[in-house]
Amino acid sequence: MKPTYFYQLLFSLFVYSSGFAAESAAKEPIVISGTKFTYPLIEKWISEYEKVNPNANIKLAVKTISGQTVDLNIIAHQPAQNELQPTQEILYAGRYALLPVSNIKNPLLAATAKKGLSRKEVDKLFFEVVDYESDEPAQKSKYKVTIYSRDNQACASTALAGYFGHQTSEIRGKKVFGDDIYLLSAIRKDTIGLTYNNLGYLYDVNSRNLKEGIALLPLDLKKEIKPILTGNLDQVINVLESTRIETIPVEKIGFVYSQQNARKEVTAFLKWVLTDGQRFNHEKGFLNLTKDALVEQENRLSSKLLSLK
Amino acid sequence: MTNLQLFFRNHKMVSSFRFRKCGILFLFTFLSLFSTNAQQVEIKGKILDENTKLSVIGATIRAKKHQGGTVSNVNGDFSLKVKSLPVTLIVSTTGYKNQEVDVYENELVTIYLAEDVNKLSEVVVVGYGTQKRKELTGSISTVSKAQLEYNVAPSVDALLSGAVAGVNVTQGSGQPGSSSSIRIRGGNSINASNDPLYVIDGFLYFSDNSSTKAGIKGMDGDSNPLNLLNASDIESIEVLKDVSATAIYGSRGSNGVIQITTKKGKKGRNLVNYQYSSGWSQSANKLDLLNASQWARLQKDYFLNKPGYTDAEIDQLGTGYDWQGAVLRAGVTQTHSISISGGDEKSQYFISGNYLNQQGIIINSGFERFTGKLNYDREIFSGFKIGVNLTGNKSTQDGLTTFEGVNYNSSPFSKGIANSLTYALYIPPVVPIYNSDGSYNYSNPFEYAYLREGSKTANPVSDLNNSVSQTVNTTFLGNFYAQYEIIKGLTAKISLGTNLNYTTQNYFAPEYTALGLEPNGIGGIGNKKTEINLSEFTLAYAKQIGIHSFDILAGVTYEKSKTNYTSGTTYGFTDATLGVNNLQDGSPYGNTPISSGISFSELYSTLGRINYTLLNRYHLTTSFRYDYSSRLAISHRGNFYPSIGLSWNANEEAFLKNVSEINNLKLRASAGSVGNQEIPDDVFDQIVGVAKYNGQTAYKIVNSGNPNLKWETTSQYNIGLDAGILNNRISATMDAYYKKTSDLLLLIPPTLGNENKQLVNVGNVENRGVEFSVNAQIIEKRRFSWSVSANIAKNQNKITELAGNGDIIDGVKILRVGESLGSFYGLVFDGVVQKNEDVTKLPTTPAYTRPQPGDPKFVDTNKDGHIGSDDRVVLGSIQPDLTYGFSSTLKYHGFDLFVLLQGTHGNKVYNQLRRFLESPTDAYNVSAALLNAWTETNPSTTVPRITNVPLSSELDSRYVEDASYLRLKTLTLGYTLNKIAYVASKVPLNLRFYATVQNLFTITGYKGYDPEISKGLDLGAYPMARTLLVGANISF
Repeated sequence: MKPTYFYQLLFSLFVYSSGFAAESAAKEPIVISGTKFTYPLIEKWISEYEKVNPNANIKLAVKTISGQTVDLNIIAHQPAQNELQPTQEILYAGRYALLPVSNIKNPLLAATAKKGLSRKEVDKLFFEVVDYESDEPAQKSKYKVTIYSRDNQACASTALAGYFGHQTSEIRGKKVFGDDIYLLSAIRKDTIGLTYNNLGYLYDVNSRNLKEGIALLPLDLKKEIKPILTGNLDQVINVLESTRIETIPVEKIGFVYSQQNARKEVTAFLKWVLTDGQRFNHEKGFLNLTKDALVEQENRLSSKLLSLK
Repeated sequence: MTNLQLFFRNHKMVSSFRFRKCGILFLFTFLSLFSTNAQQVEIKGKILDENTKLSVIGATIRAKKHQGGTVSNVNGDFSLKVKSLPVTLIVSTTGYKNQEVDVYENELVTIYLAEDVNKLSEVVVVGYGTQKRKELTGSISTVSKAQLEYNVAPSVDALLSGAVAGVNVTQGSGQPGSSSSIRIRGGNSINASNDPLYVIDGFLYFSDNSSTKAGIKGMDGDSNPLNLLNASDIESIEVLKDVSATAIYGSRGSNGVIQITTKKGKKGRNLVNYQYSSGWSQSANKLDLLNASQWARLQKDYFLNKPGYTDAEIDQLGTGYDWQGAVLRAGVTQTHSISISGGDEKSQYFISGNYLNQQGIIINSGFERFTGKLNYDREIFSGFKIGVNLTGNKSTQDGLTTFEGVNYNSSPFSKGIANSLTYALYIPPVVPIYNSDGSYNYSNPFEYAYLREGSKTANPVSDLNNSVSQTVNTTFLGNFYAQYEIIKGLTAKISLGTNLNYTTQNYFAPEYTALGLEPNGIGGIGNKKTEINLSEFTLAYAKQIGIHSFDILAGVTYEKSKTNYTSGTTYGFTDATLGVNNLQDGSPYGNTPISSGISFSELYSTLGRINYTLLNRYHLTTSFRYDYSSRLAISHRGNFYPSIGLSWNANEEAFLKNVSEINNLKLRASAGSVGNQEIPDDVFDQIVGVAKYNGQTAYKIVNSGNPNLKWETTSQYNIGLDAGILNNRISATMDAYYKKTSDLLLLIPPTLGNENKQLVNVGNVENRGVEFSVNAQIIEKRRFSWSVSANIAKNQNKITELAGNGDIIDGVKILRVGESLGSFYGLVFDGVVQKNEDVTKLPTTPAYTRPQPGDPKFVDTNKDGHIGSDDRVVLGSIQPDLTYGFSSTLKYHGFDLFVLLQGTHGNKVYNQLRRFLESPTDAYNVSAALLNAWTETNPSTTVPRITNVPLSSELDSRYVEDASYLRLKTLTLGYTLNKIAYVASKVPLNLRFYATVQNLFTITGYKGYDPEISKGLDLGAYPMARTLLVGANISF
């Protein structure tokens, strides 16, 4: 290698690394990490927040680097006992719904179109309860489907299993790593594929219509609700916020923070999320907290975090 | 140089410096991109167990539709290069469900594997702990859940019938509540017990069939010591067959161990289960005897025709009186069982109660039982747990009286009258059962003097209704434990248990019954109390270090048992109406009318075991036990029992890992020694007994003692193979074993100067055999499933050494080197002498006369021209060559159908009853087989002519019958209605109706009531019943 090329290479490396140096020299950012399917909403919150707070420096970590301090961890399931440290708390900021969805060509859609599936049938489709003490074969669903789910530690899997009273290990079928969005990729490739997903991924948040190639699984619903669920995203959000549907799990999303490391920039951001930020929930396919819950979270923030500063 | 550089060079695209500068930069960038694509993506991840979160070593990870794969290392980590993302990975390893995962992003993937629900992941109860089936090195068989659920049986031994390869269950008789003989891999011993050791919820429970007897003679059959458990309370039964599994029980393990675990409460809501069944039993078989006309004809043609029948009178007699039918009946059975269980995170409980009332198929016989059970476990604080298992039982068995062991006057027993059933068979059908006024007929003009007082004789129907032969057993089995996890993996456990057993035997035969005739009424009461206390202290440590996994156990145990008994017999009552409640009305009976005694034994043990697993597929179990027993001579009390077992999950090796058809392939081998200490307490010592002779006290040696008495030891070797294919839907197990019992405990004939036999350690016995079992889940659909299980075992039992290598002949049985235990010894029947046969060429009879046409012929084995005791040969043994079982469970929608077939092949039974029934006399009825007796016009080759010559003293091969059989033991049809209604608490109610037929048919060539005869001697045992039960089970 001639010196010229070597210097060119050295220079490019210098420029590349100097970017990091410059960044680290700037103000320490608020680092947020966690459940990926919430990222579109979190990104929206960050961008909107930075518009009104130009000095804010919030970073959404795509991959958590070892040793990196994370200020806010996003959680989208009910934490298990001992899952959180004693100093950690959760501040909820929204909700999401998990709807069963399949490949649009899935014969199951036609087979269940008329009546729709009951909670018990959805349970049998998605879960296999193993009785280790029984010699009898495990009960199988009468429909032939391939279930795709996230890995057992993922928030959506935990929420889904918890809602139906199961362990995540009891979810049938294949596992998908990475992000919940890939569940849709998986069922698009498999005509008997079946999964669940949140509204933000199921619907095109711009057109507000269901994405192509997939169809919601017919559920046994009240007459007045059935047509609404086949409507656009806003109608669906509206009905899910106002009605509890036993076949559709609705779970909260929140930020896990540590009281020990609480910073006032973090507090300010969270306060914004609970107030102005809420108006972006629907846009990204998320449900708002109920009024009471929202007030409770605001109070919580005031009494715990704000009091520290 | 890469191909790309060559590409650029060959196409002369590198032509100017400027282009070269840009080109190098472009190339740098492009190569980076290209290398990412061409050199593949490396996926890194970790495989963990879903439950334990421990790393799974040796799991195979391969990309779907791609060649090659990788295996997780000792930390569960793996890395796999794939061409691009997304990719589907397939993760598989034995004991876990296969898992497919789609990877879309290159990030660390943590894959959790769930345990597969098959026999490999099953946790098996072993001595002082549990172990995964995959890691077992020993031969341990588990009784299937279907067998436990559908084989409706009141006692545990019936559940084992046909269920496990190598376990031969012989039901001693059809008497309700009676015991069975259970042999695991043949019998090892002659005089010590051959019964297996039972371990009930961790408590060592040895109770052979004599333990429920209290020393009263005249009572037939026995009460099953396992009656203390209600079969529907049983959660699991494991049979520990080889030494790797049993050596931890040391001197108690030589006959195999049966681990019984009762049901426990589970976390969750309270569960209530109530079961009711009711049924009818009747004799599966009736013996074909002569009717009144036929019997009278026999008397007229061959005997003195005592009543002086004319031909016309004989024809008028017709069928006469059916004594057999009069003592048999349809018995009614009822059971009620209720259990309530439940628990929360800290406590679990199981409470149950059971009532069983079973009428026997012989009048006035039956069995009644109450059992109660409480299992309770509580976690006091994290790591500290306590629990109790309590079982209480009271059972009452009403049986038959017997002449066996009762000798006075001449002996009816010597004429084949064993009990009231056989007596009823012998009563001539011309004798009425009842008088014209409905009272019992006590006048049988044909009866001999030994059963006659003047004109008064006995009536077996009255005997059954008025005699008392009752065994009342009250048992308590309680076990308390406390365990504490001192540090992670290190657990200390204390277990304290007690077994109290009170047996009362009531015996009463009024003066008008067969047994009471001569003594003018006889009665007795026996009481026996056995108390066994067991303390166990164990320390267990489990640890995984990289590829090594250890499970270490150490402990000490102490067991003390105490038995005391009293019994008294009187006779000659002035008033028999109060029966056993007025024994003082009679006079002391015999030389020892009242006796009492006490005996103790102690057993100190130290035990240890190491289970070691390498790379999750190489397993080692080594265990030992040191036992010190007070039952042996002082200088021989301690003995050490070691064992080693190895197993290898070969299917997890690289060369088999990708053979998807094989899900399990395990090889096992074990060796070691175990002992047998089940002999009476203090038998090593000389014991002087006291008795009354002519009103004076006399002392005599009742036990010779043996200061050198030591352990009987069995060395065992086992190799085995477990295999599973088609996702373990078909699994098979094969074992081959060799057992050698040395220092055999044997009662040898008295030596000079000794009146009693002496128990000595002389002789060796070998058992060698193979076992094979297969389970197949043929159809496995949601509403339609069908599974079958089959097992077969071959065992060869051989005596290899005896005292002085001489034969020991005991009645019709012989102990001889080279032969099996329980061999019969007698003449070989060679047909019937025919009319034109040259009798001068035939050997002379035992009376040194020439046989006449119609006489039986026997093989002159020693060719001396005379038939005598020297011509006796071994006629076969009670040991079956093959034992087998087959069961099948079919479920279709709500219906379930369970079938259990069971059988043996090659075992012999001495049919003494038939021998007597085919020996005509002028007093008793005989078998209808004699209608085919040889006459000049009926040249029978099987039934000799009818003579009044008394029965020969020598047994011959006609009556040592092949007792091979195939029995449809259980057929159950059920229908379940799930969640049909809601009770107050809104919990679903399940209802199952079922009907069961037990012993529906038996295919056998055996000519007695039933081929299943304990000890191979058919004296006229209580017949086996065919039972129809209908029942319902409600749970909510």
